Amino acid sequence: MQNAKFHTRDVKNTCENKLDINFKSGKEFNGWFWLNGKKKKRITIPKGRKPIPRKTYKSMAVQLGLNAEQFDDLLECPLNKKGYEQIIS
Amino acid sequence: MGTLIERQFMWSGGGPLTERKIPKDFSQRGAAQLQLQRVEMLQRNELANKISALEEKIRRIEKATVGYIKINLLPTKRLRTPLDAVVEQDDDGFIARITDVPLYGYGDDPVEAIDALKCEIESLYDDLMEDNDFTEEWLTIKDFLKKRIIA
Repeated sequence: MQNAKFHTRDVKNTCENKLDINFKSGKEFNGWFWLNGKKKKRITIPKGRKPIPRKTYKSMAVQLGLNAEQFDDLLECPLNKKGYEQIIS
Repeated sequence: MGTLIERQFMWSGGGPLTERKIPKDFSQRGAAQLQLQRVEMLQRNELANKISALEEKIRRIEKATVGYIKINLLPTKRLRTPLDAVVEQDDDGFIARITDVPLYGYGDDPVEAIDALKCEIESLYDDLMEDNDFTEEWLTIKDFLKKRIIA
């Protein structure tokens, strides 16, 4: 699990750029991932944390329907939007 | 050279007690007693190690799981029935999670984590009430929250 490498900002940027998630800013950042015209996954990203605590990192992965390793791949690059859609479909 | 017990007697006696002066049966009894003491000491050490390992395990469990709580109130809404949540240590902070819905709140202490979770519940509820463009899974959660939350 690569939680120590990332800032919550990195997770937000990846979700925005790779998965086209639009975030709403409240106490935390919340955003929906759309698939086939439906809201499929909802992720919460805490503001300003580095390193990301392990359980928080895992919770974000679970919210996206991924395990920690797949989430690592999403953040580190190998996993793109198409790959992600295949995983959660 | 005598046995260990004989030599011990020589040392602890302080005097010039030699092997020859120790009666044979006394020496055998002493050796048996020493053997018994050694076994007891080993058992005591083993027990102490087991106890300290258990204490360490308990400390880790206590650190890992703060506990289960029931959420009765939200910042601006009320709940018909409480929601079950679990609060755990998460590295330097704390994480609070609902058991029925994929939601969590993070904070520097348990209270902050629970407050963040409460805000998350409300935020999700508001999101779900906006429209019906959700997958079946989320529509089920929407029904679940509608039954629990008094808007």
